[in-house]
Amino acid sequence: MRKYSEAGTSLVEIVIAIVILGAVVAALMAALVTATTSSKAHRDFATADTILRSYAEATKSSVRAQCTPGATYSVAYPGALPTGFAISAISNKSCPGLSDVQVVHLTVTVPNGTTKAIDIGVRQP
Amino acid sequence: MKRIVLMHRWRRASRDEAGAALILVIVVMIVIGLMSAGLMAGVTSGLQDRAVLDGVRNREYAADGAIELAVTKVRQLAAPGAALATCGPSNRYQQSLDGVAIRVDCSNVPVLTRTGLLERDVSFSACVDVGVACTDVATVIRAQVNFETASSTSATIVHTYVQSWSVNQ
Repeated sequence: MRKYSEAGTSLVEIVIAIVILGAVVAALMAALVTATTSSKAHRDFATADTILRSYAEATKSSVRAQCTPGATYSVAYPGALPTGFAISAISNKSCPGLSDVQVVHLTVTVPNGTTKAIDIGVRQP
Repeated sequence: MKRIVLMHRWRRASRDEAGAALILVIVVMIVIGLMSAGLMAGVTSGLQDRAVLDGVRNREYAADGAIELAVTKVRQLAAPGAALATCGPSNRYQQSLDGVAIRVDCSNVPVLTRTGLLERDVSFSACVDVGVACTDVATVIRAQVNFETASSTSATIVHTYVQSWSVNQ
């Protein structure tokens, strides 16, 4: 029976192991980067949701407080906006009529440039 | 003789360790793979939850807007509704907002006060429009609104007062 030499076997195993481990670690790092990015996006969207809700309630409140037939209303965001976020301004907008609701389009822009929007209906008080 | 035995044992041990590094790598790879899968599952779940919550918010504000529409329409009616019989066409209003079709069912719920005045109250139930009347479970917002007339003999609405406004889901 012919005997094969084992010289260099460990080296080959170690090289293969390093290559596989390297690929796995690279994949893990990519997953971590994706997780971090997604986590930030998720946090921004949650903040955007809070901003939209606050802005929607402020808009409804402004219409109730400022609107009479033929008048206009403006909405101020309650408090300070978180850094990097922006909202669509509502200024001197015509009040809704007595017989219908007015659909107001509210948008918030998150720091990465994505926008989230909601339509709300407001009526003359 | 003793030296030959030792050499033999060393060679056997050496042969037994063949492939050990690869097995270790495969084990490590599986562990790290499971960790990555768990991480990505968490992130995906979070983003999916966000989308669901956005949908709930849109539905809530669509129901809110639809009830506002119904209130606006009802106050255009005299009394509201002839002899308080109905509160609108088929006692129903519909509106789509934020991509959600909402149905509002209304019913007159007049109340006679202790002083003998008739309070003109209307109850509204808003739910996602699936072609049937809003059930308790499906109702997103339920509101009761008082429609005030200029006098006890007048049918013209001059003020509306929201008496209750509850968001159910």
